[in-house]
Amino acid sequence: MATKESTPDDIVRPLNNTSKWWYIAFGVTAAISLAWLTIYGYQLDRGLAVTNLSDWGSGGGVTWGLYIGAFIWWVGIAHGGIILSAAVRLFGMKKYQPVARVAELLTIAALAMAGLYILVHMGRPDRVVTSVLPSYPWTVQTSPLAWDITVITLYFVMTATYLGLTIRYDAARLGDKIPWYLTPLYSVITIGYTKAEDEIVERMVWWLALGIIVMAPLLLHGGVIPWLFSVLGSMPGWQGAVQGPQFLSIALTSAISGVIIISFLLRRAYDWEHIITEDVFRGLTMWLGLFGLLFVWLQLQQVINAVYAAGVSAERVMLATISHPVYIMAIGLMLVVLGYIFAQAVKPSVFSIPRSLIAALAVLWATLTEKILFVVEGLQYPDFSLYGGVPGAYFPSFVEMSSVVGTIALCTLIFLVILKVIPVVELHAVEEHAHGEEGGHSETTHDTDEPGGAVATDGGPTAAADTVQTYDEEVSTTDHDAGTGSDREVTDR
Amino acid sequence: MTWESIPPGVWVIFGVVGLPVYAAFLGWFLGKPRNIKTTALGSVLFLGLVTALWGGLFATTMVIRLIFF
Repeated sequence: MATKESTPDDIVRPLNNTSKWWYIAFGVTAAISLAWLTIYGYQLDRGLAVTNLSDWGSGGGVTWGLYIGAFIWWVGIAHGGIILSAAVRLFGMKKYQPVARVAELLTIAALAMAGLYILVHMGRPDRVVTSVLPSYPWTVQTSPLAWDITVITLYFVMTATYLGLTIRYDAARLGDKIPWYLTPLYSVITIGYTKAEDEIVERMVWWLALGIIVMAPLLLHGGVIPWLFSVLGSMPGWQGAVQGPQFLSIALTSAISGVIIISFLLRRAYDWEHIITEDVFRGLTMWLGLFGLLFVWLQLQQVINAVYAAGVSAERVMLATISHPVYIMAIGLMLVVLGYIFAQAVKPSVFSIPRSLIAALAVLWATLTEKILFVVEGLQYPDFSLYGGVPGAYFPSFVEMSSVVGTIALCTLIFLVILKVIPVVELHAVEEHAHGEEGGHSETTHDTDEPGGAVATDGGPTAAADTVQTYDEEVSTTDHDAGTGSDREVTDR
Repeated sequence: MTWESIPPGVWVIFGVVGLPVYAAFLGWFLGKPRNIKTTALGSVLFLGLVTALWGGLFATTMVIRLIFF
């Protein structure tokens, strides 16, 4: 546990101070984003012919390729975020409270990138709304694509509502610490705010968190996204109920990796070593290990089931997959990462935050490439003769590959802008820390909520402040939530 | 019950996927403590975001149509 006390001034520092590194990062990501948008404009002008995606009859018959693989990847990254935040609220995993809002914002930014990929993959994106909405009453009955759009919409809206409700608490208390030009925005955010709503909002976001924790893992990335593939019996590389848990394990590993990377960058940029502590990274690394293990285990399930006696088609696609250099690299990277996580679990001195950062980057690269290969191989090895004489093979074009760099830059750009608008660490997190330093109840969850840890003995949702006042006044109230926090744990919702 | 009479999307989307949303709204409106103003704020935010999402998408795609098609 860090000993330096965190204060609200720490969390508003990004709003008030802009270093040259921020300008450099903004300039670089804006330039890359614009460059990619120009390339996308070229695709819109010339059509999908500038990609290597092909219609049935050419290019190996691969109609879905990098774009859909990257779409799945971004949706997966989006999960972590809000699941982590919901877990903080539902299960009292307060250790991760300092990264909870970062995680929520990652969800929104990553989901926006996933949505963008749907547009980018369409030959006529201008028809998406006018064709999807009018036909919805019929398509929703049997089309996994319509289900997919439904769940992504609900997930995005639930997450944004969650953020919109929780931000009011912070905005009402940090109004005197923000730059003048943000005052009008904060006035809008806190419209109608009274101290009495804190308790009610806390209850409402608990219900939202409950909905999200069911919606995101089980119904989106463990549900409608894998169903886009797994229900198709004619594609043995895709078909099978194992795709639900497999997609979920990939989402969770990608998401934890995303949170590790952004937390690392924020900690470095704003000297938040005392807020996003080493303990947080150790915990995230252990979760990465658990979900990574599940990912590899589910791969093993698929390989064994396909190569043993599943049938010629399934064996053919699996043999092609497991002998593909991309697959070998992806699984190899996962095994190396798991080796590191196991080693640091056995010998804690092996752990370092930069090593966990490298592990997170390796996992993201592995999940992206594995997912693209999954999409492509499924189409290249179908189970019916329509594809029989399809010549050629698929490899992403420059236009397609540029989209990965472009969307990563765009996502980073969104984060850079958000950093200048709202605090990316919840005020609750520094309040918790302050109370922990004062002998409050934060020690009850210390070191208890990573996989294999002891069961937390406390950890109700953080109680709202009793009054709207300055932070200094709040922290001087020693019974602020040491009492009400645990009371809240057994309160009816 | 057959595929034709009750297609899977009907119960998957409105029966299963909808449950977390129904539960959240029921919790908002029936749980205590509550006040109608805060519950209304959450509901307006939720519905406003759905509208903004699809409205924004419609506007974006119409701009794309104007420029490229």
